[in-house]
Amino acid sequence: MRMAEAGHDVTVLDWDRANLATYLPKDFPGRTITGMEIDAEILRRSGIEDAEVVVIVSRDEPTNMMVADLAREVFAIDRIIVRIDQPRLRTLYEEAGFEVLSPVLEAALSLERRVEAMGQR
Amino acid sequence: MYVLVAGGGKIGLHLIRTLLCQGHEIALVEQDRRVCSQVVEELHEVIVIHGDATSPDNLGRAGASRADVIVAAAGRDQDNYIICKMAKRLFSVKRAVARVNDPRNEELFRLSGVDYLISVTSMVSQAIEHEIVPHAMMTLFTWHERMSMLEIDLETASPVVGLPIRKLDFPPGSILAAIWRAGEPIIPDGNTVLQAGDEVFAITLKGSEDQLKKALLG
Repeated sequence: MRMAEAGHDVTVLDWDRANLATYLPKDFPGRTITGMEIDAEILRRSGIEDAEVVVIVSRDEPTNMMVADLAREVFAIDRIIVRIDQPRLRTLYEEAGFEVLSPVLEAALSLERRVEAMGQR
Repeated sequence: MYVLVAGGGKIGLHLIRTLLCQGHEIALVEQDRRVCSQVVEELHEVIVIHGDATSPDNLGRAGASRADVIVAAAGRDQDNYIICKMAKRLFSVKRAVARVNDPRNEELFRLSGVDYLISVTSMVSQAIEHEIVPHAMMTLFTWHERMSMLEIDLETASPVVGLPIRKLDFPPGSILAAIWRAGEPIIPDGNTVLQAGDEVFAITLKGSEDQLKKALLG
């Protein structure tokens, strides 16, 4: 939502229509598409070929990893941000040149900083 | 061999029973506790790890680093994809075999280094197509997109009927491997004479199929 409001052209793809309705505000200015993510045809229809950045952040890790590979191998996308939480898998994808995002790691680091800040007081 | 099976569904369990009979050492990683208990009770020799096979820790616990083969037989394509990719990249497993449901995913599996794909959907649809539409020639198996086994049904009009095999003008890269005649299998030699009604099984390199079809069916 914030990226769309900032004037970027955003398309959101989710296999579950209910997710799109629940998590996106009614006045979302971007496009939404319902369909299986692991499907080159659906990705193409979502306009992946024109995308500058592909962001894959579902809660399903295997799906994220496979879609990331699909985006790179089939559509030759350079910038792919993918959500992976398991540390060894994160390393595997980071080494392969993906930008990996881990909410679990981010939360842990944030907690660590807060705890450290408490100690310094 | 040490075989690691990920996913204890019908395919996984059937495979485990078969491999055990052949004397292989087996580990199973399965998420469903009931299936795990059942396997522990029924097949004592199997090492059973209860957990998600898409987690590197669980594959590690199942001994992935010393596995000769990994078989990804879970229900979802994305899980099998990741299981094979991890096995290859993180544990250096030599051979990865994966079950694939959606034939459109096969290409990505191959690109990621999976050695052998079991595409249930493709196999079933080919078998049905073969039964419904009569084909003079059909592909039974393909190995790594390089080599195929074909079945060719000879009819009376076929130019090779009545000829011994040594007289056939076979394209290079093809061999006639077996004949199914009147309910009996035959391994032919150069003197075997082809008859109308023979089902001929040939092995051929990719790209030679059309020449082979022309040679046998005209």
